[in-house]
Formats: sequence, C-alpha cells, structure tokens
Amino acid sequence: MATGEFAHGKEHLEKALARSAEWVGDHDVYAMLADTAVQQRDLVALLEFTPLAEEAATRYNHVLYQAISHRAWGVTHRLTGEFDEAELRLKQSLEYFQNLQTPWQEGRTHRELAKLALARSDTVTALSELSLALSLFNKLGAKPDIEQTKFAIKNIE
Amino acid sequence: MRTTVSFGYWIKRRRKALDLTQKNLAQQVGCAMVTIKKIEADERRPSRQMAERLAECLAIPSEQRTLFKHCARGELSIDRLPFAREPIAGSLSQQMESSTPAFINNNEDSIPYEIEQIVGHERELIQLEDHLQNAISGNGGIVFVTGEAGRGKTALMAEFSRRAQKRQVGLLVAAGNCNAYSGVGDPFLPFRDVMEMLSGDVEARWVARKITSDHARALWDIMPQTVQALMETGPDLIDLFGLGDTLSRRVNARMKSHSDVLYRLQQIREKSQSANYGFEQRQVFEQYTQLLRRLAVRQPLLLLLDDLQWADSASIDLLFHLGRRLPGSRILILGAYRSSDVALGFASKGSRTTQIHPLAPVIKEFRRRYGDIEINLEQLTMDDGRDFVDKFLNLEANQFSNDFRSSLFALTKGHPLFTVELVRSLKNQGTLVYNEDEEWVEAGRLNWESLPARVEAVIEQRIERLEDQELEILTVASVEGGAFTAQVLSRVMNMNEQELVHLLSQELEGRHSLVREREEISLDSLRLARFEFSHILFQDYLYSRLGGAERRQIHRKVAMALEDLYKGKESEISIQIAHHYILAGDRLKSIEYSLIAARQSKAFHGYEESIRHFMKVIELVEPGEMLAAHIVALEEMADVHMLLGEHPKSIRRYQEALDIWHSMKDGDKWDAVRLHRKIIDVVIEMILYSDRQRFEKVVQASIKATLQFTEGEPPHPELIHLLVTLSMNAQRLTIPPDWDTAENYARAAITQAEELDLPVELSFALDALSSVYGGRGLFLERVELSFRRLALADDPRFQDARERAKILQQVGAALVQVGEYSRALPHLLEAESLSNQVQALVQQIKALIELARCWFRLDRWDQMLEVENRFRNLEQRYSNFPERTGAFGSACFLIALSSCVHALRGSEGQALELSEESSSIVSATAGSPEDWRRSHHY
Repeated sequence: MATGEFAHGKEHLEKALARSAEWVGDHDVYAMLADTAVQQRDLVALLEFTPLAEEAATRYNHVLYQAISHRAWGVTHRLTGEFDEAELRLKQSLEYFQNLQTPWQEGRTHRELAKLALARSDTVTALSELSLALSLFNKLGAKPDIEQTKFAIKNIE
Repeated sequence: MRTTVSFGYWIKRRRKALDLTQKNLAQQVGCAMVTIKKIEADERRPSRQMAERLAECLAIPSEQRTLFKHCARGELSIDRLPFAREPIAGSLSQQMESSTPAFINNNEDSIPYEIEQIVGHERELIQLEDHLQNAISGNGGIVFVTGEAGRGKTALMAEFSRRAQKRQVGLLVAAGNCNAYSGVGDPFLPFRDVMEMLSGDVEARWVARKITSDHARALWDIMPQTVQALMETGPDLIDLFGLGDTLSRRVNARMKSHSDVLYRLQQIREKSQSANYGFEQRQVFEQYTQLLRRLAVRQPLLLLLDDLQWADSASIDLLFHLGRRLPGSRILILGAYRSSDVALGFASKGSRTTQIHPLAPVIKEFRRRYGDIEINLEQLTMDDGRDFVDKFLNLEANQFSNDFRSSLFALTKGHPLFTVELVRSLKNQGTLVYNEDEEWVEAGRLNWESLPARVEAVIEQRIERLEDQELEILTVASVEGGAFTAQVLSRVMNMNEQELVHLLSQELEGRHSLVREREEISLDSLRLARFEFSHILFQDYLYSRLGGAERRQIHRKVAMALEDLYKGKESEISIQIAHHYILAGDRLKSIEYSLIAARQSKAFHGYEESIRHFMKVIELVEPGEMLAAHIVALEEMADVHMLLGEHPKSIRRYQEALDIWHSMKDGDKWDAVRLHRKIIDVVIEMILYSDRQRFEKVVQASIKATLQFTEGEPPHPELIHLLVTLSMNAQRLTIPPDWDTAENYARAAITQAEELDLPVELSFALDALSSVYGGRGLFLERVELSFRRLALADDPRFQDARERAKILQQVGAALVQVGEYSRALPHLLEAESLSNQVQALVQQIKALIELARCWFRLDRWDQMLEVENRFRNLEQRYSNFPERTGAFGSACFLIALSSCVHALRGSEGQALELSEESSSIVSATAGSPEDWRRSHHY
C-alpha cells in the first residue's frame, strides 16, 4: 500500500495518465511508478505497475525503462520468494544498465542483487555486490546511497 | 576532438589571445606577477575570489563564469570550456599595420586640435577624476553632468577627457552624441558613434578637430582588438551599428598582406544577417556590453555620452543594461543631460498629461545603485560663478578693474555661455581693447544698463552682425538641425557648393565662431561635409525666428535635398526625411517615410522607436483614406508589440487593422485571414494561463471568421499557416486537447504544402502533426517525422536558421522520448549552439531542458548541473526572462531535475528550494491542478 510521499506522487502520476501524452508518455509514468514502488518495497504497487511499465517500455523499445522494469520484476520476485527468477531479472537489468553506462542505476541494481544474496544467506556475494555499488555511488557523490550502502555493509560485517 | 590541457596552460592561451602580458593581467587582477606565473605553470590554484577576478579580466562570457570558477578550483576539468587555440588578437594585431595612420602623418601640423576653452570647474574635474580612478581600479561606474543649456556641460566633459588622456596612459576615450531632431527616433545613435570610434573610424573626427592626434592614434591602435571582439563577441553589432562595409574597407586597408580576416569578417556578417530577424533587443545589449568589457580588460574605457535628454529609447535601454554591468569592469560612463528636460518629461499629444522622460527612472536606478552620481552645474555657488568669471578673464593678459569683473559677474551670474558671449561681444564692439602692452582693458566707462540682460539677447546681437547671405545660410542650416550638411544647404539655396563651404569654413567658423566642421561622410562618389552650430542655442535662436510658413517651406526643401542626395539609399536617413516632411506638413510624404523609418528602427531592434514611427503614420492617415497603408502600419506595429512580449497591445492593433479592413470595399480577404490568424497565434504564445483564458472569446471569433473566409478555397500559403494555427489551437488552447481536430488540420496543412511545394510551410505543418503524435503517444512515429523535417531543412529554399534550430531540438526531444539518449545528444548540442548563434532564446532553453533530461537519465549529474548553470546564466542575462520566454513554463522540468540531483547527492536544503521554485513556476503558468497537462503532474 502506497504511503507518504509515494502516495502523493502516485496520485499525481495517476492524474497524469488521464491526460494526453504530449512530451510525457505512458512509459515515462509507468517506469517512474514501478521504480518508486521498488524503492518503497511496495509489492502491491509493484504487481500493479511493473507489467504495465514493461509493456510500455517494450512498445517504444525504450532500453532504460526495460532495464528499470527488469529490476522491478527482480524485486517483485524476491519479495514473493522466487529467487531464481529474481536473479535472472536483476542480472538482465544490470546488463542493460552497463550497456547504457548509467552508474547510479547500476549501483542500485548491485544493491538489489546484494539483498537477494542476503535473502539467500549468501553474505559473500552480498558484500561483493555492495562494494561494487559503493564504488559506483562514490564516483557520483550520491551521499544518501553511500551511507545506506555503508550501513548495509557494516550490518553484514 | 578536444585536446586535454591543464588549467594553467588554458589561462596562458586565453591571456595571450587577449594580448595581455603577465604583468598586465596581474595588475588587473590585483595580484603579484609571480602569482600569475605560478597559476600558468600549474604550481598553484587561484582562490575563489581571485578566480572571479580572473574571469572578469580574461573576459570569460557570463554564461561560462560559474563553470570557469569550478575549473579554477580544480573541481571540474577545464576541457569543458572552449580553448583559445589561436591568439587571434595577437595575430590580428600582427597582421595589421600598426604605424600611425597616414592621414595624421601627412597633416599632423597643418590642422591643430581645437581645444575648447574651459575655466573653473576645478572641483567638478576633481570629482570626475575620482570616478575615473575608481573605474580604472576595476570599480566601473557611471556619472552624469547636469545643467541647463549653456552651463558648460559639453566643455566640462571635453576638458575632463583631455586631462584624463594626458594623465592616464592607455585610457581610451570614445564619445557619442544624441540629436535633438532625429534623436528620439534614431535607435542607438550615441552608441553607434562610440562603436565607430572604437573600430578606428577616426579620420573624419580628426580632420574636423574633434579629437587630438594622440587620441586618434589610440583609437587607431585599438582597432584590431575591436575587430576581434566584434567577430567573437558582437557579430550582430557589425551591421546593426552600421559598421559593416566601412569596417571591412578599413580592415582591408590596414592588412599587411593577404589574410583570411576579411573573409572571416564577411562570413560572420552573412551569418548574422541571415539570422538577424526577430532576435531580442536584450541580446544586442548583452553583445555590446560584453564587447566593451572585453576591450576594457586591455585598456580602461571612458565613454562620453552628450545630450542624453534627446536620447532614443533603445539607447536609454542600452545605457540601463550597460550601466548595471559596470562593476568589476574598467569602464566609466560620463553622461550629460539638461536636468529640466528630464525632470519635466514630455507633454502627451492631445492631452494635458505629461509623460515621464525615459531617462528619469534610469537615473533613479543608477542613483540607488551607485549613490551620488550627479554633478549639477546649476548648483554652483556665487563663489563658483565669480571664480569662473575671473578665471575666464584671466585666460588672456588683462588689466580689467575689479569693478568691471564685479559688474560682469552681477550681470551673468557666472553663466559660462553668457559670460563668454558677452565678453566676445564687448571686444567686437570695441568696448574692450588692447593697451600698448597688449593687455585687454576697458576702453572707457561701460554702460551696463545698455547691455543685454539675458544670454539670448547676446546671441541675438551676434546673429545680427552677420551679412544677409551668411544669415540665410545659417537660417536654412538651423532647419536641418544642430548638425547640418553643406550639400543640403547648397541644394536648398541653389548656391554653389564650393562657395558655400568656403563661407561656412572661413566666415561662419573662422570669423564668427558660430559653426564648426563636424565630419565628412562618404556617400558613393559624393563626400558630404557636415557642420554643426558651435552651440545649440544659436540654432535654437535662428530656428525660432522663422515664421510657420517659412519653416514648413524650408523643411520641405531640406527633405527634398536629402532625398536627392541619398537617392536609392533613402532608407538610411528615412528618420530624418520623415522628420522634415512632418514639419513641412506634407502628409503623404510623411506617411511614406515614417513607414520606412518604422521598419528601419525595427531592423535596428529599436522597437520603441519603431512603434513611435508607426504611431506617426497612424496619426497622419485621415479617416477613410490610404486604408491599405493604415492596415500595414497597424499590422506591423502589432508584430513589433509581439516582439516586445506585449500580447494584449498586439491583439488590439490587429483588431484595429481588421476594423479598417472591414470598411474597405475591395479588401483582399487573405489580409483578413492573416490578421485573424495572427490574433490566434498571439494567444497561443501567451505564457500565463489566466491571459489565455481572458482572450478565449477573441480566439473563438477569429476562428469563426477565418473558417468563413476560407471555406472552399484552393490551396494557398496563408491557408497552410491558418491550418497549422488551428491545429495548434486545438492542441494548446482547447482543454482537454482535441487531438482529432488537431490531426485533421495538420494533415490538411501537409497536403496543401506538398501540393504547393513549399518546404518551410511543410515543415510547420509537420511540426503540428508531430505535436499531435506526441499527444497520442505515437513517439516512434514522431521520431520518423522529425527526421523528415530535418531533411527538409537541407532544401536550399529553406533559409530559416531559427526553424532549423527548432527542428534539431525537436529531433533530439523525440529521441529522448524513446530513450535514445546518445543519439539525441549531438542534435541537442547542435540545437543549443545554433540557437545561441541565431539568438533563438526559446529554442535554446528548450534544447537545454532536453539536454538536462538526457544527462539526468544517463546519470551524468555533473553535466546535468552544468546545463542548469547555462540555463541560469541565460536567466540572469535577460532581466525580463520570465515574461519574454515561451519556454519559461517548461523550465520547471529542468529545475525539478536539478532538485532531484541535489537530493540524490544529499543536499536536501537545495533540493527543497529548487523543488519549490519548480512548483511555483507550474502554479504561475499552468493554472489550477484541474487544468494541468500531463507534464505538470509528471
């Protein structure tokens, strides 16, 4: 269930969908909704928006949004306990982001892979993924992500 | 591919490109030379404060300043800034003859410089010197000398200029005058004079003894730097300020050998001319400002602007812009104006109200900014007045009694012109004579009661001493204006030109000192000799003696003489010709030339002047006559209002034109269609939602009318424009957008444009369809369509550089929409660069918004913030940015992205601030949330 800021954002985005596309397409809106759901770990929203996001991204052959959709599916599968499917999707997502050379997105996917590894109790992989994420976040100066990742590493160690 | 260079090396190249030594730069920055050495050797980095000074002194364009400071601190790579590969100034200086100009070598001793006599005003001169010293130390500013006619403002400025040049080696002085007659309608007049002087146009001024040989040499020497700065910083000024052909000729004459400079200059002019329509007046101001600031890096500048009470509004606006950009530069502007003229304002025609003089608020703002900036010559004390009288009398050896001095002071109160003219008169009458020791003395007891009590009376006495023919010459001259042309007088008076020039030079200048030679103008094979009255009060007096009928007659003759002299080039002086025909009472000719003058002013970006001339046309046309000309004037005036962002005024004028069209029996219906279509276009262009709503009924009425006019019409270019407008109306003004109607109109426009084979119109029509595709989410189709438009822009008939910039931006935006960021980037960067070149501000902002979107999606946060910097610089450069930019509403998106980057970097305060700014733009431009479009919610 969407709460707080996400609920407010979601409300606007749903209103957006009721208007004509012009310079903002359905794919933009769904990608944003799915990605925000990932950050909120909102399974209901993930199940609602990820298929829509994926369909729209595929329709426009929008690689970045396809990568975001793969990640959203990865998180959805992890939350529903389907770890193999989750790994497949997250790795697809990572490959797309690497090709696009989008370091923040890459870092975030590494972090999701770490969470998946933790869910599988694989702390070695989790630490490795987190350190990859940390290195990417450091390059960008993404302070909140750096802190979160360091905190996660510390917790594992 | 960009070469990687160090910050120090970059600075060194930039310094050399500006022809500065390390010592020069250190002096200007205010540091030791060794510091510059170390910076250039990459042994140290400048402090933040020094980086700011370096940016000033190295004339880094304002939009690159922030970036430069980051680079200086080592936070960003200097690769991001353009590298001065060739020290152009150096090479230009080397390629041009630097020796003294030939005309000075040949005549140096034959024509002495005319030094105006000035005495007294020592206190004022010291005050001015303080202002100048402040400017030289980098605190540029502005100061005004005020007082009534004859108070010695011009003489004070001339004396200050002379002393300053003598004292301050390297000081560059350029001057410009406003004109009482054509002034208010002749855009940028004083600033054109200034630019002419700085670009080495000195011969005529030197010959006319307006400037000394040293002054002429200094201006001659700066010419290569000015040419370089014009080419790099102010390309649009070259033709706009009338430098074009004469500048090319001067450059050519000074080149030592074959060089590509002329070719480059020509290319720049052509490029500027092709793009030179509709760009913002503010951009002209900015180029002018940048150019002066850049020249002042090398040598401090003193600009003298005289008679500002007669300045045109474009010049006043430029003065306002420039005046606020002086801090941090080595520029002092010294202006002079008649305080009462500015204080009293203008009487509005047909009413008893008075309009504020446009200079008044500008001076108020400068006063607020700079404090005490006026030297009022009216406020001189009794002591000052007596001091002036004594000093003036003591200029020559004399034995004048104290009684004589006191009586002279009692009569003149130390009024400079009155004193000078009265003493001259007494000498001519033989009341003052030489004694045996060649000293001036009183010839006997003077009857002070019999002397004229006012300066006007002294003038009258002097004029009355003229021979009939001399008086007639000056009377005709007074009708032409404060400055007049020998060849015009010769035609008006049907007098031999040589004889006339002789009388002007030998008698009226040499013996009577009533006029002086001003300049010589080349006009094809003709050389026009221009003279001016030695004081404007002489001209005022002569003109006021004429009766109404006589004045009208002479004005007509002057106008006809000017037409004859400028045959084929009448538009160049249409403002003056119009002025004379208006005063001659020749309505038809006045209309003809006022219309040309209005267009000429518009071409010079003197929009207020243009409107004034159009208004004159409208006032002159009598009800029911010359309907077509009336419609043209109203329509073109509405177009100018549109350029000024005055949308409601623009609509009103189009409506007035339509009213007249309706009163015509045989009006061309396409004229009515065009006028209605323009009304709809104006409303579409309105930025604020509330404004668009206010004119909804007007739009509906125009739509209805155009549909009636065009029903069943075959393809026609105007019909294509109308269909595009109707499509945009269905998309932008209809809530929610009616995409079916919009698509139908767009497709109909495409069909007609294809049928008539009109590439530009076809591009407009495709744009409308592209917009429909966007609304319908057909983004891949839009990419295809945008590439089709790009191909059209390669058609040789497609000359519209602004439209090309728009297409490039839209290709980029279409690619961004489908996630093709890397493909989009080159198109967007080209769009930004081309928009910058052709001064398409709206397109430039739109390109920046898409670039921001691209970099953000690619996680290139630094680049994204750099784009925001470029946006902010544009915002800062154009003070009325929000009102004038159609893209302002979309800027909320760029600001929101910047907010996200700051949030992602943990700068929450800044993120929040930007987020609020973005929201406030949406609220201001998009109406209530119920009326928001998708992008606003997004």
